[in-house]
Amino acid sequence: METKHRGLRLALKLGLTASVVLGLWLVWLNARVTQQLDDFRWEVPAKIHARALELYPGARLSADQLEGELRRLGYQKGQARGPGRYLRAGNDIQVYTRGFQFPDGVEPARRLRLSFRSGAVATLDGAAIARLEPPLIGTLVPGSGEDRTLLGADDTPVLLSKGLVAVEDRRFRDHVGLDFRGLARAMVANVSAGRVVEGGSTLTQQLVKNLFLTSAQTLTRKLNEAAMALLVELHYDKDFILQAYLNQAYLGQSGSRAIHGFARASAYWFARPLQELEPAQLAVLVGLVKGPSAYHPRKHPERALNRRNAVLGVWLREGLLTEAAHAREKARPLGISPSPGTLQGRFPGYLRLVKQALLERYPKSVLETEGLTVLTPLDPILQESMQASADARLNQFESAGRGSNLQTAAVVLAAGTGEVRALLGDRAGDGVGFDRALDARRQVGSLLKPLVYLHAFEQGMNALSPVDDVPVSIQTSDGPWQPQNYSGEFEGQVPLFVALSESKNLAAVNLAQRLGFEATADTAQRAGVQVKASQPSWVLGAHLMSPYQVAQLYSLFANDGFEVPPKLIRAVLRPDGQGVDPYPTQPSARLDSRSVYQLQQVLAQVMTRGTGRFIGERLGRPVAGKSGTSNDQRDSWFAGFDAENIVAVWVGSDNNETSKLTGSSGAGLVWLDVMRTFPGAGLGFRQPAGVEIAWVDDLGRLSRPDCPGAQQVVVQSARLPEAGQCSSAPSLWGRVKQIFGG
Amino acid sequence: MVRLSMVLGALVLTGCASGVRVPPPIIDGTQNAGEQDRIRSSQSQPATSVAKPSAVATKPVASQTQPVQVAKIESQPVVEQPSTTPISEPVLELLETADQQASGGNNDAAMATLERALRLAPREPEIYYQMGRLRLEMGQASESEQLALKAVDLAPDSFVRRDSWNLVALARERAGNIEGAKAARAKARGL
Repeated sequence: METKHRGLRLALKLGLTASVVLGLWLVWLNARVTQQLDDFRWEVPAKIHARALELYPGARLSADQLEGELRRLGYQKGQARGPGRYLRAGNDIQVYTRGFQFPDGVEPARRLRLSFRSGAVATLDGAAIARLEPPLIGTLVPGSGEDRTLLGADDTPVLLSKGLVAVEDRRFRDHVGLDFRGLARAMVANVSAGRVVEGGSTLTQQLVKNLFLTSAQTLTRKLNEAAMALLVELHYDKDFILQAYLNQAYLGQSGSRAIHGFARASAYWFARPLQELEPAQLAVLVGLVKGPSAYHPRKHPERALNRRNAVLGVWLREGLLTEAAHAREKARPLGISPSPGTLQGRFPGYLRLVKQALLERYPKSVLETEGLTVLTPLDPILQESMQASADARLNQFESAGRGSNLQTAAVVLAAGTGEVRALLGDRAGDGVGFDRALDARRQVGSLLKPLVYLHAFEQGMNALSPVDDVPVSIQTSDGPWQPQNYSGEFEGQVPLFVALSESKNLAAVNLAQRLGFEATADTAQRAGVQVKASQPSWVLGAHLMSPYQVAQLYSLFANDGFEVPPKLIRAVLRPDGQGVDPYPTQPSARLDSRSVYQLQQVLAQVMTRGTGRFIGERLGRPVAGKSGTSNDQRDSWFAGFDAENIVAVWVGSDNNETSKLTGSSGAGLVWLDVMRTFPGAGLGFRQPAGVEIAWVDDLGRLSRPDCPGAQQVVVQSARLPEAGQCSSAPSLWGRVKQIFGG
Repeated sequence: MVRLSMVLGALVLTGCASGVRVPPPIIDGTQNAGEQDRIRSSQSQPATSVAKPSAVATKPVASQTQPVQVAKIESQPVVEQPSTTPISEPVLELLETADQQASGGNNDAAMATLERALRLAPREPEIYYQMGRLRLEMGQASESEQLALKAVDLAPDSFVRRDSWNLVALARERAGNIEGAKAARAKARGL
């Protein structure tokens, strides 16, 4: 009796303990299930987009360039009856855009008709101005490697949700998370076949397995799976579970990135949004659920096709497709895009910088999981052509024996906004390793000379003021410094514009000395170049700068003396219209705009008569620029601008080898190629208040139109040149005419 | 935003009005191609390249040293036509949109629209002026001041310049810079 009682008590105790353990286990499972699903916050990595292509009459864009952009965005050629389609006939393009949520509002999906003439949009019907959606260039995938685009119920094609249920879990709408009938049938089928031919997993079980569990085939895992499936069904309705499944399904692998959810998979496999897919393409995706590597459409196209057709067969049987539709869809090719996500991962160097910039404002976890949309100003057309032409030029230089182990870096900034439109930090453009555009600081040669002349303009000189081009010896802390002209010769006295456009070393040094090294260095510092007055050799470029810094300096010249910080991000959009984080353009006045205007004029003359003439002539339109060559031709530089872009290019070698390239014959040619991608921008200089056009004599002194040799030049009204011999001070009437005329 | 509608209205007139403007005595061999996308520019472009560079180059030259002669032939200022060209249709459209957004109280969207306009026309003073107005409304006085100064610099005529100086003055007042505001007002009055 005693033992019997004891046994009973033990059993009772064990039972109690077991149910407590069981209870705790369920509570724990329950917490895990609800915690993850309640927020329904999937890890959605931030998406990084290139600029949206703007379409308006006058936009410098050719029909070919637009078609190229449409193809990269996965637009299909055909009647433009719905979003994502276009039709081209010669120079006419009809396109049905997809629409996009921009920081300034919604760009609707709409039908547009464009005609083109000489490399520009001639007419646009359907809007005064419109834009395409910005191409996706990358995602900030977290450590877990999950890449996904969130798919809402409204955006889910009905055929996808119904078709998925038909193939994977026919009784999904009826079961409680576990399908006992299906399980029994599967067991019978498996036993009679002697191997596993049918799985009995419901969509709910698959979801639970993917979300919470490992793929190990253990009994504990099976029990966990079953219990969690029941709990999920207890807490959530079928629509919710199905949507979760559609977002969680594992549908491909790109390197370390796992492609999750049907929306992301559509972009990855077809380079198009899910809503635009044909039934046959949806069937490919649904077929992939069974095994993305086994049915890999790019590696095993035949298997994928068979699997797709099997899915189409199920849809026919279940009445989701008519006979006719089934026959039509079955006849289609697989339709997989040749490369995944077209532009994704093509610009790693740029993406790295964008990521750095984002990390200054957002925690890493937010970037990796909260579904931000990051809009950048990157111009893929420009970036790709810059990469290609830089590499071609360097090959050309090397095979002509003009250098070896050459490398290059280049930056293109947009005038006005400072947007970084393209950036090259490496010859191969693969963005691996060292980024020369930002991190390589090299001697800049003559690129800083304009600062000396800017200072001269600030002091009231003009383009015709004489400058001494004679030998000079300067005492420095390192002993006497005796610079030479590049040609080894000197000309005595030359007008200022000749000195700068022909990049005369002696003239620049003499001028800086005459105006004072201290004051000249002060102007340079105001322009953001941290030179030391005690080391005057900076005047000839004994100063280290990165191409990014050079581009910033020249953008100060291009932007009329206003500093505009370079911009890698236009705006960040939070998901579901929860707001926009702007990155506004904010100019700030740094240099006297009148003096900068005078400098702009001479920098344009560099390209018509000076060291940049060869490049200016080949370009065939007005631009402003300056070449730079460091000692022994170790560094070849070219920097300049037009009304729309500031471009800085460096060519040299990482280990500082000498080359046979000058600024113009090396970097200048890459610069030329970049400038050629924007036909006809012009200079667009605006004459600011406080400058006027005056008649001066050959010594830069005030003159009169009727005096011999008088010429017109830009002068500052508040600092008119002294009167020359021919001119008594200009008459009052002359002054009045100048003011109202200029 | 009254000013914008004035600008819009004025633009309709500009086509004929600009003919009145005396073209500056500037020799300009290079047409401002950057303005070609300004739709109505072709109608209103005053004849700029009246004087050809060669006209000056062939003038009798007093005997001088070589370098100076070089200067005489080639020192033509590259001065381009100061902007009397009207704002292009797409930029106008964006300015109007921004105006509507701002009147509807959506300053952020209006700023974003103006940013978009700036990408199309990086030297259009009206865009900077409107940006400056908005910044002031948004309580960012120093940003507003800089944007207004940029508008001053780019202003094609004394009217726009005066409005821009007045905006500078307002922004400085808001920032507590009374002396600076006075100076800006004086500039505006002088125009």
